[in-house]
Amino acid sequence: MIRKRLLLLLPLLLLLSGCPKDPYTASLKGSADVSQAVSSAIKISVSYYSTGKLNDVRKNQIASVLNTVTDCNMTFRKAVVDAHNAGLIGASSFLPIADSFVHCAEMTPQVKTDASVFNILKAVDTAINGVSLAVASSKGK
Amino acid sequence: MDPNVAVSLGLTILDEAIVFIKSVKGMSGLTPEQLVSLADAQDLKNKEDIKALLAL
Repeated sequence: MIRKRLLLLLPLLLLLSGCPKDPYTASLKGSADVSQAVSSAIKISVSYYSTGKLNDVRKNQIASVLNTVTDCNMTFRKAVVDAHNAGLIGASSFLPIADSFVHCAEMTPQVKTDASVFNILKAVDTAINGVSLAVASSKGK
Repeated sequence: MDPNVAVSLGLTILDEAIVFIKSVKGMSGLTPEQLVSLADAQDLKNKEDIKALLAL
């Protein structure tokens, strides 16, 4: 019960982190949040696995999802920096890049319906979806 | 579940929540360049940690 509450705390913290001022910074802040959420999910997975709460199949499934998310996040960040360096400004320039990242890193229904897997990945999922939201609600449209 | 295991898992998650709070608060005043640098370094570490997770 306590563990479930703590797992729910992580996504909540993401929502409370606030929105940066401009779309460029909002995109980069969202990307950094995803990186941190992935790092936490890895540590929690190791802990669950070492105590026998996670079997090999689910552990590898989580690792695969986190690997994909990390690859998508690196690509996203590079695209954001390239767009900024090309002189693009405004949320309308960065929203398609953010939406592309959310699509790239989207978790399958199979992952989302497995509670023991998705509980660990919930904060990562919230961080991913928070990227588009942060860009859309940033100033400087 | 063994109560000791439950406490251990709870502490791990709590520890990660604290790390996360510090990280989010710490990032709020960073410049875009610093955010890129921080995220790049974290992603590279994550890739290594994911390899280690797969190897367990």
